[in-house]
Amino acid sequence: MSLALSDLRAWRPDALIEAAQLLTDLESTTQTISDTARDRIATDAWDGRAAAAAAAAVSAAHRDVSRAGVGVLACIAALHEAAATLHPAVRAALGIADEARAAGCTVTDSGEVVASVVTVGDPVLDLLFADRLRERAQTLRERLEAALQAVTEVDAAAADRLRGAATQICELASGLTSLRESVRAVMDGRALLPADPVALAGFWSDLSPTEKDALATWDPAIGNRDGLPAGDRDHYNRRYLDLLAETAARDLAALDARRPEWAQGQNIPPDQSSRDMRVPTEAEVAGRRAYDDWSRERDALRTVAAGYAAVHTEVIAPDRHLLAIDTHGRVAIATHNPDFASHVATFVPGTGTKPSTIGTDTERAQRMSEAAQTADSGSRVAVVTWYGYPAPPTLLHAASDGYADDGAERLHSFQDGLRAAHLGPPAHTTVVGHSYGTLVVGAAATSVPFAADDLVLVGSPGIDVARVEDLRLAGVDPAENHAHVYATASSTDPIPYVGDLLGPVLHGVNPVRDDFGATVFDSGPGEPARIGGIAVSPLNPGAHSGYWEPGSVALTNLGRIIAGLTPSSAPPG
Amino acid sequence: MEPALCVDVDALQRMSRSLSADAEVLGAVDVSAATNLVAAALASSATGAAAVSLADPIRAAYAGIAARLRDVAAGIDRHVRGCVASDQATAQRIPAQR
Repeated sequence: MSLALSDLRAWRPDALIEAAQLLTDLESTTQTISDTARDRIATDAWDGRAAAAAAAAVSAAHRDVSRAGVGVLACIAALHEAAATLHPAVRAALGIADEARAAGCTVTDSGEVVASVVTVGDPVLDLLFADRLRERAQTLRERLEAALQAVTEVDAAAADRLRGAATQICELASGLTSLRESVRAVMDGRALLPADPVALAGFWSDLSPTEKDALATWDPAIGNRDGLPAGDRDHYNRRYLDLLAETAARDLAALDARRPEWAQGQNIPPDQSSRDMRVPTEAEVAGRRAYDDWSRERDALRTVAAGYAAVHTEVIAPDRHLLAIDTHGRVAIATHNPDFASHVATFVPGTGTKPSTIGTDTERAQRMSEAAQTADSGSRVAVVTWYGYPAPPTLLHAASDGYADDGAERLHSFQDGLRAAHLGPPAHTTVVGHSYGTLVVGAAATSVPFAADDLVLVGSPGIDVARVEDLRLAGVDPAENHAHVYATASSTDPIPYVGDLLGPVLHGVNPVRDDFGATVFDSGPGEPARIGGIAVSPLNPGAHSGYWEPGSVALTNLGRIIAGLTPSSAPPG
Repeated sequence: MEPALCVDVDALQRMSRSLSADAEVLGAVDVSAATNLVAAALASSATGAAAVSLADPIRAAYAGIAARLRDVAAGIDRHVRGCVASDQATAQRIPAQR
């Protein structure tokens, strides 16, 4: 069936997004109901064989709600992809039709372009005009034909994907839950899941919800694998987060049960400082040592539990996507689904970052997302807070490159995964490093081409790279890197001076220097350090975290870069 | 014979009612509003027609799960009735103290 221009003009591809949102709400509601039902049945008020049978039945229903949810997520992804591809194709076709009308041609509803007859009274000129108009009409006819063909193909591809999602759910509803050989082989240990994000994305896209769920049972941390769609990563990582939080709470309770009196702050063996110079007995020393060991273990467990609680708080916010969570403190949270976004940024924070305080950085990511949305109002923006590496805990630790080297490979894989899972036209991708995070970005973008269109280095102590041409961005000629690598530093931020003073022996040059070659953008003058309102130092440690202040020049410029625009102004000379 | 289990009848009845309510919500899942929205907004498109095909399988999938939760709720009700009946029967067999 050929499409008419009047059909295209009547289309409202935004309805696909509205429908996807309705399905997203449905998936979330059914999952909550299922979680509640499972928790309700696991009660102390009932014990015995009947209780176990009821719990098993509800648990199986819970598993099937999860499977159905994965099927619904596939539908949501298909709807988003349809919106992302249909919208530009329709706009292009209608644009050509409008162009043809503006050129004085007649455009039929079926897409025929006919040259108008123009007479000026001079037979020679009339012939000349007629020829030129015919040529123009012919060119426009060919372009419009190709554009309509493209709409038809995009429409057919979107329909195929939706039908595929429907088939998967049909299989689930009819109980056809057999696993294909390649999935069984992974679960039996005879094969490995593809490690390469692109290969994994291909493997995963063929799986039914039942197969995905089976693999998630085999590996509860499967949502951490780069290349999976963000919707599935979020779905499985939220389940994994619950599991990790439950385990941490259980471990803490078990530790407290070992020493209930210490857990209540009673009978704590005194330390040396409270023994009034008396030489402690061996038993006292051993007792205190046992307490110190117990206390250290408890503090560590409480920190871990606090981290899971903080992550849980962050992912409750609307549209957040939990792209990574594990037992090593690695977390990634997106402000929106990056697979459907036209601008995707990855924010890599620096020294001292840990899950329990991730709220500070997700707030910064949220602000960057909003700033980019303001800069390009018609776009969809997702900013990921990426804690994919163990950050140096203190500035002293930050003298080492080791943390950056550890993080670089993971950041590389994460970016590859974002690109592999993205739906519709490729997104414009930016990686924003802050402080030590810039070093991670630098390490990731050397040697092998890094899947990012632009890099932003904020308050950098140096990135171990002498010049922007030494960086490698996929699809960018290194000679053009100066237009893709941005740097900024507030004049009162002390950290960038590390590169100026210690560059040769530490992390290399400060990337806002001319000889580095980045596009340097303004981040405002910053405030000097003050005590009682009096400026006591031109440098202010607080300026190092001031780049995301609402309404600041730095935040506006970060938003513009993430939106694929140039920063609004250069820093004052 | 095993002794009758001591159960909190009120708690189990609450659990059964809640599971029935959960089943009610899952059984009522209907995405036809969303799929019809797409079909209307993209009239004459293959995408619009394909979107409509999503509604039935999604409804059927959740309806199947809802039916199983209803079965569990009914099973709990039967269990409670059985426990109460067993308790009463046992009580009748115990001679009253005089």
